[in-house]
Amino acid sequence: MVKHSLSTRRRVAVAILCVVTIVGAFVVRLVDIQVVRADQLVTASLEKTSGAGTLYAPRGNIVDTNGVLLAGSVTLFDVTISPKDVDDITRTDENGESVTVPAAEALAEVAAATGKKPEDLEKIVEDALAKDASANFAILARGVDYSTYQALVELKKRGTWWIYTQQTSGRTYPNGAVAGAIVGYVGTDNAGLGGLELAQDTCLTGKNGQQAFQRSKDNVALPGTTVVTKEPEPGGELQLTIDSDLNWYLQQLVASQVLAQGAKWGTITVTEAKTGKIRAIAEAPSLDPNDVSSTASEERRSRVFQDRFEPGSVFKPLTAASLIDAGLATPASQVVADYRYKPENGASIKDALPHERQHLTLAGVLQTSSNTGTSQLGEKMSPEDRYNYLDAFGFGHASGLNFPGEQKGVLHPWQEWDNQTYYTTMFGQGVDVTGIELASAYQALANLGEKLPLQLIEGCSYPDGTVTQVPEQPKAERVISEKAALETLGMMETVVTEGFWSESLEIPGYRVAAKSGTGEQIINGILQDTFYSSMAGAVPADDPEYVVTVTLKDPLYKRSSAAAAPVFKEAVLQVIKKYGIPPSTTPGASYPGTY
Amino acid sequence: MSATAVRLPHGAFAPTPQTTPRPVRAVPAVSPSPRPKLAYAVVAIGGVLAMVVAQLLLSVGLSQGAYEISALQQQQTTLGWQQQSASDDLLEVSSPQYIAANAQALGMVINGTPAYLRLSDGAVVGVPAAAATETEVPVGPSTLVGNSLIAGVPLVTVPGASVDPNATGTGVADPAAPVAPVSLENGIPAPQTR
Repeated sequence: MVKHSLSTRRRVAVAILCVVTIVGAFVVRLVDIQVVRADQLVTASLEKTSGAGTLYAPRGNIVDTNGVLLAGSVTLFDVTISPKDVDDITRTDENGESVTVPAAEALAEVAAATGKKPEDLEKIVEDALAKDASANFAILARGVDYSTYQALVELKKRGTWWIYTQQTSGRTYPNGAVAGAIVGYVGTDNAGLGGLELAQDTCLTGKNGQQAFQRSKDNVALPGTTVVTKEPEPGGELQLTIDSDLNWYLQQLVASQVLAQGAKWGTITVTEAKTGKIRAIAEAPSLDPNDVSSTASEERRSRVFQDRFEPGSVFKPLTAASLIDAGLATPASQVVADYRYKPENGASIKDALPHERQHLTLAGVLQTSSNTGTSQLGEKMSPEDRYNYLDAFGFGHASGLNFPGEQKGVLHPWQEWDNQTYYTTMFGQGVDVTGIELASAYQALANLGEKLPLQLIEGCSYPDGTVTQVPEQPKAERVISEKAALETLGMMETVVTEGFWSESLEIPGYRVAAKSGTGEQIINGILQDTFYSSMAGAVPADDPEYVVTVTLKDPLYKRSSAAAAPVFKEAVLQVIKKYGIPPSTTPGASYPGTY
Repeated sequence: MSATAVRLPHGAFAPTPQTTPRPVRAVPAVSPSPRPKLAYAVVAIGGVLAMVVAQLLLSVGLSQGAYEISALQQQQTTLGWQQQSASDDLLEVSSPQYIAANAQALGMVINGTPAYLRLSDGAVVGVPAAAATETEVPVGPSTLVGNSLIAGVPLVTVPGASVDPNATGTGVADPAAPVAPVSLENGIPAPQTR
C-alpha cells in the first residue's frame, strides 16, 4: 500500500514537472513572439498580407488664355529588363508549332518596338551583367508611349517574359514649339527645368497619395480592404494670358523672316495696351519642349526676357514724349538737322546716312529718324529729368514677371553719362534693354501714358475650385500725360505714312503708330556691321488696343529696320484679324515733317 | 421545575404508536418516449451542410468577384490609357503646325488686308485686297515652328504626303547650310515702290 502511493506521487511530480516545463516553454515562446519580436513579426506578416500603392497626382496642365492645352500630363511607361534571365524564348507560331527564338532576335524585337537600336539594348544587358552576374534589373527605355507599351505587352504575351513595364508619368506639349520657350520644359523627374514650368513649379506640382489594402498571395486586393491613407492632390492648372493661335502665327512669321534675312534670331511681342496682358511672345529659333535635346543648351532661353541689346531709334518716341510731357517741345518744334552734329561738349553725332541740311519738325525728326535732330531737341531737357522719364518707362527694372533667368536692361545713372552717352541715350544707344522692357515702355505710351505691370499668367486653379496667383488689380502709374502720349502716337502714325518704310508698313484702312530702330552693337570694342533691327508700335493709333514689338538680330540682307518693318506690318495685320479690330473711321494724324 | 408543578400520572399522554405502514406500490411504468423523427435529423444536418456549402460558395464567389473586379479595374485603366492616347493624337493633329502643313500642301497662302462686309447695310468696311503668294516676308515652311509630336504624320489634304520628319528643328536654318540667295522680289535693301 505505501509503495503504491509513493510511485503515484512520483508520477504526479514528473507530470507536473513536464507540464510546468512545457507551459514554461510556451510562455517563453509567447513572450518572444508577442513582446520581443512583436514589431518585426507584425511587419513581416503585413508585408505578406497587405499591399500599398502610390496614387499618382498628375502635374497640372498649362493652358493658354482660351484653354488650349499647351502642356499636359500623360501616362508613359518605363521599360525594364531582367538581364540574368535574357535567354532564348519559345513561342507558338501560327501553325501551332512551338519554335525557339534566339535571345538576340527577341531583343531585336524589343528594340524595334521601343524604337531603339538592337546593339544599344544588348549593351545595356551586357553592362548590367558585367557589373553583377545575377542582375535582375536594368532600364531599357524611359517614358515610352501607350502604343509602344501595347507592342511590348504583345511581345510579352508571345514569350518575351523577361521584359517588364512600369507605369510612370510624363509631359506632353501638343502644340510643340508654340510659346515653347515661355512654357518651358521639365526634366526626367517631371520637375520644371525651364520657363514657366520652372517658375510655376509650386502651382503645377501635385502631391502623390497613398493607398493600402490586404492582398491575396497573387497580389490581388481583397475586396473591401482598400483604404486610401492619403488622398492625392493634383497640381493646379496654370492659365496664361498668351493666345496660342496668335503666338503660332507670329512665330511662323518671325521664323520666316529670320530664315529669309539670315538673321541670328527674332522676336515679336503683342501686349494688350489697356490691361498689360501679354498675348504673344514669338521667338525664332523656337524651343520644342517635346524634344528639348534638339535645341543646344545655350539656346534654351527666351530671348525676349534673357537677351539685352541697344535698341536704337525705337527710343526716339520716348524721348519725344518726355519732351512734350515736360512742355519743352511740341510736334511742331523746329530744328535744323544736318548729317553731323558736333555739340559744344565735344560729342559727335551723325545720322545713319549722309543727307543735305533738313528743316525738320519734331514729327519730321521721328519720320526721318534724325539723330542730329533728336539730339538738338533733347538738349532742352536736363539729363536728370530724362533719366527719370526713362526710369519711369521701366528701363533697367526688368518686367516684374520674374521669368527664370530674366535679365535687366542697363540704364546707367545720369551722373555716369559721358558727353557722348548724354546724347546717344536720346536715340537708344548707350543703353541696354530687354525685349520685354521695350514692350512694357510702349505699353505705357499706348495706354495714353499710364504704365501697367505686364501680365503673363491669368492664375493657377486647383480642382477644388480655388484659384491662386491671380495678379493683383494692376496699379497704373502715370509716366506721361495723355496729351503727350496722344501727340507722340500721332507723330508715330506719320512715321508709318510718311517715313522710310511706309511702303512696308501702311495698312489701308487702318491707323497704325510705329517707330523703327536700327541698333548698333559693339562687341569687344568693335562696332559691328550688323544691327538689331526693330519696330515698335501700337494699333489703332487713335486709341491703341495692342502694342506690337519686333526685334531681329543681325539680319544680313536688309541690315536695318527695313528687315523688321514688313514683319511688323504682318504682325499688326494678324492682330487686327485675330481681334476683329474695325477699320478706322477717323482721318489719320497729320503732322508736317518739315517747315 | 417549580413546586407548583402538577405531576401528571405517568403515561397519561404517552403517544400512541401509530404503525399503519405505507402501502408499497410498484414503480409506475414510464410511458415510452416517442421515437425521434428522422426528418429533424435530416433538417439539422442538412442545415449545417447547407450553411457550410453556402459559406463556401459565398467565399468562392466573393473571391471570384475580387478577381473580376481586379480584371475590370485593369481593363478600365487600359481603356483610360487608350482614351488618353487617342485624345493626345487628336490634340497633336489639332496643332497649328499640322493645320499649316496641310494648308501649305494645298498651296494655300495667308490672307492679306482684312475687310468686313457689314450686314446691316451691306457696306464693305476696310480695303479688301486679294491674298498674294508673294509677300514681303516670304512665308517659310510650316516646320519652322517645330513640333516633334507630328513629325512624319501623314497629311490629310494630300494623300501620300506627310509632315517632314526631319524638319523638327528649332525654327531656323542650319547655320552650316548655305545661306539663301538674296531674293530681289522680297529682299532688296531699299524702300520698295509699288
